[in-house]
Amino acid sequence: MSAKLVYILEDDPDISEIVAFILTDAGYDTKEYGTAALFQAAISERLPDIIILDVLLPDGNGLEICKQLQKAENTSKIPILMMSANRTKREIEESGCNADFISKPFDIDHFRQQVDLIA
Amino acid sequence: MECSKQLFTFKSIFDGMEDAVICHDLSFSITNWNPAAEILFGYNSIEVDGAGMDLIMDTGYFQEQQQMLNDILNGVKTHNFQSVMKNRAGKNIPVAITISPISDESGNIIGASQIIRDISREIFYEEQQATLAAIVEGSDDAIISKSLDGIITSWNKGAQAIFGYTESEVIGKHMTMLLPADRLHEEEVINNKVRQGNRIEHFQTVHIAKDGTEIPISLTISPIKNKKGDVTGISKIARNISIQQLAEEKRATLAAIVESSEDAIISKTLEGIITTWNKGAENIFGYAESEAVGRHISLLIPRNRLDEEDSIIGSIRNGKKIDHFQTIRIRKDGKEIPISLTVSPILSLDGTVIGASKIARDITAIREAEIAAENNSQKLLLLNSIGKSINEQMDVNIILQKVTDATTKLTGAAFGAFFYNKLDEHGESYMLFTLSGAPREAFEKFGMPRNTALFHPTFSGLGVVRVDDITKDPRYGKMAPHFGMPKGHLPVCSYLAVPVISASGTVIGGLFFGHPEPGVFMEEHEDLIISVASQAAIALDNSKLFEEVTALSRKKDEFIALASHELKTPLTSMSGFLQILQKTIPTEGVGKKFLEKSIHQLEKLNRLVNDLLDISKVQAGKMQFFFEHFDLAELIKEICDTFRQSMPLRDFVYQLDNDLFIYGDKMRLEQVIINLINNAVKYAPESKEVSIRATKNDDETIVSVTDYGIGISKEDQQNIFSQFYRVRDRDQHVSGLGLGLFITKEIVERHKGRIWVESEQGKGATFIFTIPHETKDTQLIH
Repeated sequence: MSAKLVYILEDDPDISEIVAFILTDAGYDTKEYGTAALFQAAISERLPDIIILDVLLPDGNGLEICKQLQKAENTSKIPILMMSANRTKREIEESGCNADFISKPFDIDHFRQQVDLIA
Repeated sequence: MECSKQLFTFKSIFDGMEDAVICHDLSFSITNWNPAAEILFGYNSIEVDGAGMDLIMDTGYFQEQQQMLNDILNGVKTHNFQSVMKNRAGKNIPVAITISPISDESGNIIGASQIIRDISREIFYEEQQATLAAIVEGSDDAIISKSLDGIITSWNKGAQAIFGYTESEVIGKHMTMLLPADRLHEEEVINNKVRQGNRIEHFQTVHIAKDGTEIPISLTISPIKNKKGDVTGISKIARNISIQQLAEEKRATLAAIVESSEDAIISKTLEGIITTWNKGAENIFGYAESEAVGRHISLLIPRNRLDEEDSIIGSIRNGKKIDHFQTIRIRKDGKEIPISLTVSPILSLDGTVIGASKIARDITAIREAEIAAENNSQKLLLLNSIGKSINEQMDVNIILQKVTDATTKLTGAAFGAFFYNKLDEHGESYMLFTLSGAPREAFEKFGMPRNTALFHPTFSGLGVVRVDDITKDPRYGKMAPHFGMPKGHLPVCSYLAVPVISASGTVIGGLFFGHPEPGVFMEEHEDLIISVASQAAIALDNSKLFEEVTALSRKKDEFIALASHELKTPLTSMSGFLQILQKTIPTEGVGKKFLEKSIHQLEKLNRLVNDLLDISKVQAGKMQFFFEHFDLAELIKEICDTFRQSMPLRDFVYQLDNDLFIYGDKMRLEQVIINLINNAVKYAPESKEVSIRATKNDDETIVSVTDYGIGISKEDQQNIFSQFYRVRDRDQHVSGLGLGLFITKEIVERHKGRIWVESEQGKGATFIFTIPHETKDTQLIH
């Protein structure tokens, strides 16, 4: 069985790198995108198994993207993990986005557990 | 011969005597009876010859006869003994009896002769004299007699009482001693008249008493005539009329008071017929005395108050006075006036009520003053309330509406409006803001008031414009297209406009008032509105400041949110890299230790950033809460486990009641407990134990966190929950922004709980907070 593919949409390259590092280390395949546009383009070509979404993006809002993905038939089943520095899990839920949540900064072990849980 | 001649002589004397002479023997048988006795008693001498003396007297007096007879037998004579005898007709006759013995040749007493004088006339005079004397003595008037040359000859008690002299002091003195110097001539005139036999009655003059006081007297002077009718003296009766005069003066004074009184003073009979009517009544009611006297009092009473008269008269009949009864009466010209009535019964000398006196005071002025005072105090109240309410307000629209409403009311305007001084893109229109007394449509029809000659002074801040009739004002009607008020405009005649000028001098807008009648607005209104306008300007300035502050505060919150996010991005990556380093490079010794410390410091930095974020949320009122039922005991255990892991050298001891399910925001309460435990650790570095207790009672769950450190002073206890507060002595060495307890308190209070600290210096501190059990109230709040 091939490794699961994780799309990471995070505009900060360092954080993106850390997430990719942790997940690669844990045996996932990762693809990193710095903008919503690049991410959308990638989705339309190939669907990932897991999506890690930041909330604040230079060209969009992670919560909106999350809702779109869950609405769209082909992506509605893909588990999503939201990351945010300012938002709480509750705010994510209240926005109508049915996703797991991890607040920044995070404990890397905890992060890995969260991804394993939804994978 | 000699003897018989003597006998005849006696006989002639006997018969000729004026007095009755009766001779009788020792047994009272009459022997002789002279003609005078016949006349006195009505019996002739033949009829009485041999009759007894008892014929002419009653038995009682006859005993006196025997006594007198015994006396002369004993040699004692009786002269002029007064007794009473009786004539033939049975009439008693007062008599004076002189009795003498009759002796025979040998000297033996054989009988008696009685000379009986009729003294009835003497007694009459005597009695008359006594009566007159008694009258003279008993009179309160002075009765004085004097000789024709003026020497006082008699002086009664009354004279003594009036003039103060005793009889002995004045008898023999001249009458002029009683006369004032300027009245001496009167005496001469009087004397001349009286000498001619004339009588003078009720001549009023003044005499002087012994003590020098002048006594007003009324004189009656009569001549004293002798039997021949010659005037031999003068009698003078003087009546002291001081008291009468006083009464007269009193009456005159009262009459003058009544006449000069500004009050209406009216008297009436019990039937209500007006009997007297003073000048005051004329002035107040407009009827002349001649018009009112004889009319019924209902002349003055409004129809709907006629009942009042019945009840007034009812009270008066019972002798009761009515005091300050305020009512309405009608003037001759039909105008109703407010009056205050005092009605008193008029009593006759025997105490029966015979009428009523009525004092009516026109209280129009008082009423008006009262109403004016009332108005003024209402205005003051209103002014006060405006000042207060607009100062409490930060919303411009509410301030302006309140100001418009209140000023419209204060001025008595039919309608009022506040126009905001705002230029539109063409640079001339003003924005209508608030209205009072007229619907908005009434104004909107015509668009905004334009920069006419009339409105210009107000919006330029030139001052108050007050016009009694705006349609006659030269500034009015100069502007196209309306040339005056547009058709259908609110009917404005009286006009008042006051600019509202801010502290910086800019004209914020104008207050405009209108009334369809001319001359409604007064100078006093200007002052009132100017004072309200200045208050309004301040309130508007404040409101503007408040808006600016609010905007700034919003910007600050936005900034903190952004800043914390921006801070968290490097925090997250640093934290991630360090953790990866920790895992991938198996460093020993100093490297490992420093990595751990770096990670620990990053966690601290993260908490500070979180606090900042929370504070901005609290201040913006954006801290969101999510209430749920959860097990507090479990939460506390988890928290303690985490603390034990990160601080293995410390003891975290908990003591928990059973069944500690509570209703609250789990994440926020976790933050509270962690905050409190963190503080306990931070501020009691020397002590090992931190204890956590959770108990509950009927109303609430109580959580306490106790450290055994240096404790907190009373002063600090009061301030410790304030934002940015730091305990000076100990916080120098402890990091923090002073936000933790402020946020903690905010969270507890959002749960309707309380938080406080109990501490004694040197003996540690216990922070306690409560979370009330779920009730309908708390559910409603969340």
